[in-house]
Amino acid sequence: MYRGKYKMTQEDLSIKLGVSRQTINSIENNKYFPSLELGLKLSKIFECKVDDLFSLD
Amino acid sequence: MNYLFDNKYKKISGLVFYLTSIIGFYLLITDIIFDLFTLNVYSLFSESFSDLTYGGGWIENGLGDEIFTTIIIISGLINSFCKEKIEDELISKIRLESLTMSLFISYGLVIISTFLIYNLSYMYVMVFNLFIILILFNLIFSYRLYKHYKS
Repeated sequence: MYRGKYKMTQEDLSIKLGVSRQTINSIENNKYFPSLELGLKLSKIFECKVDDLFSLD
Repeated sequence: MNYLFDNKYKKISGLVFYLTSIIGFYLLITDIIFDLFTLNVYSLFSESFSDLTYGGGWIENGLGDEIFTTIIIISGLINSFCKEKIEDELISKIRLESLTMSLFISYGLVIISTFLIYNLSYMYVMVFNLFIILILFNLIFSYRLYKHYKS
């Protein structure tokens, strides 16, 4: 949702974060829960709180 | 610090690992491996069933198995622990899970073999166990990476 808002592709985001495109895909499909470091980086890119991006349920 | 080798060694180490594993296994089951490169070597301890001589001196020994063991272990370790082109935290997680799975399977096989294989034949279980963790890890990790890159 946030990625669409910022008009970024998975590839764009993966380059910004220094991870593979497949990792972004896994995060978006809830197959992988990223580390705190990656979560913080994502929240910085999307200018939102980590809570807005991830929840425990 | 992640103790991983550079990605440029992955292909060549993989080629050496699988090639020497196959050749080494063939030479082992045909017993040719023990007759290769026979030299006088210093032995810290050795026991021969035929003449009950003990080491602590110079003995004649075929170095084929030692050479193959060294090449397989070094190339296997390098291939298993090379960085991916993009090494990220999900790759690290996949690597750790593959290593855990290969440890469980290999020690499971050792426990089963302990109760099914006896006497001198058990030596083959020990030899097999030297390499099975690396081979299993390589196979499981490669399969998981293949699935990951396909996603």
